[in-house]
Amino acid sequence: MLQGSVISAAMDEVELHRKQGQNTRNLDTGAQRVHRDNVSHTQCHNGDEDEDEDYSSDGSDDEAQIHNGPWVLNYVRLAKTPGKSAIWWCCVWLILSRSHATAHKYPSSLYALAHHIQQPKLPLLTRRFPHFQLQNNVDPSNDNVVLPDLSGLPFSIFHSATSTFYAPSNLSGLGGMHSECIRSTPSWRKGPARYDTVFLEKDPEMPGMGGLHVGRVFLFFSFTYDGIKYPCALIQWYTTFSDRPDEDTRMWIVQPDFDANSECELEVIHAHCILRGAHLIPVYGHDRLPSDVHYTDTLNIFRAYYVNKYIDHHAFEIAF
Amino acid sequence: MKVFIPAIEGHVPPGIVRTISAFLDFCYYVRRNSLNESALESLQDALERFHDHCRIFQETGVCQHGPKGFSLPRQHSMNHYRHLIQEFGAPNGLCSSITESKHIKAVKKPWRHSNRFDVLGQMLVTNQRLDKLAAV
Repeated sequence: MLQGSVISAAMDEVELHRKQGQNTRNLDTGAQRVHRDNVSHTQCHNGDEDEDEDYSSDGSDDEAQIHNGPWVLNYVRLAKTPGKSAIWWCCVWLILSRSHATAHKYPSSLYALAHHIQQPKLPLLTRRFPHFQLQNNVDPSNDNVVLPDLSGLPFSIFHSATSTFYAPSNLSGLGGMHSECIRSTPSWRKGPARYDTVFLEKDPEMPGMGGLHVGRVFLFFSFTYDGIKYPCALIQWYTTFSDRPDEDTRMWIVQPDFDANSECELEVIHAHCILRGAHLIPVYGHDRLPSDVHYTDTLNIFRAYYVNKYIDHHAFEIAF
Repeated sequence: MKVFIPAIEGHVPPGIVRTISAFLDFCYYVRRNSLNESALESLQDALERFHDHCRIFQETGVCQHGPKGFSLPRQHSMNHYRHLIQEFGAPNGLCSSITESKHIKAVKKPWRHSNRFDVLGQMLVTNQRLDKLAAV
């Protein structure tokens, strides 16, 4: 369903050319395959290891910042699926930054990692992911397909990702670019866990929330399979409550997805499907909240959330 | 402003929530760096919704009916935004409070410089001289 987008491929191409084509792998098995290859070559900025600690002192402005990059709307063409492209009104690329993953001593193998983060479904979801990336038309939940064995591959874990997009109405650089940090960390500033919610591309041609998904990132990770590096995100889905925004507040209401066993409905997606961070604010209802509710639990305890389009001007332009 | 609507929703009559939602919509549309025809239509729609729903404040007795009712210059000025945007372009974040901060420099300080006799003339001369100094 969800794949990386072409802008990420374009950015990666630029980066790759700069690095004189290291790690590239030329494929000549048809245009579609080349496209996928482009999408999948991403640059995880592992070199930034020591400057992105979760409790670093620059925390005052690390969430959102102006970005002095060029204005890229003119040449950006985004497409979700090969062969179909549309102009999107903003450009997004994601940079996963490794945040002292070594300090947390994450295991590098898939099954040990799943055990470490207590997500038993992770191996199955991750094995479905490259299968689906390489064969578009196959339903990944079909049990009859042979899933690739990823048990021997090393996995890298990331605690944050940077999303950069064209938002001239927000505080932005000369080119109108704005960047923000999406966190997914088991301990934010030595405190409780923080898992941010994000907007994901569904259909660039649909206006407003019709073209977007909302999800919550529980893990950023990457691995190399068949010579292709995949930056991934483990996502919990949120579905819209109805097919139109709430009458009074004119904001969309979403609910977290749960399966039959009332466990989170999770999926592994390509990190480049992520558009930007989303702000969800609970539908508090008429009653008073208990006084012992802590703000860090907000995304865990409520049944429904407003997609807050008023959080900034760019959100107002995309999530109406 | 960013979190106001979810905070009041459920605790005040729905009409008030709708009024504020329409007002916020208007503010966010106006704040855009460029407005096309459909954005202007949405702007107009938000304005009409605002004026439609804001009667709840009169019905509940918060505000009086008739000539003593709403008399708020900035809310009145919302009516002129659409035409003026079409004439002069997007305000792009221009704030109507700008006159408030200018008031100090243009009125209060020259007044203090004066000897309070025939004040207006002295203030005008002060402003004129300060402008000339600034231009040097």
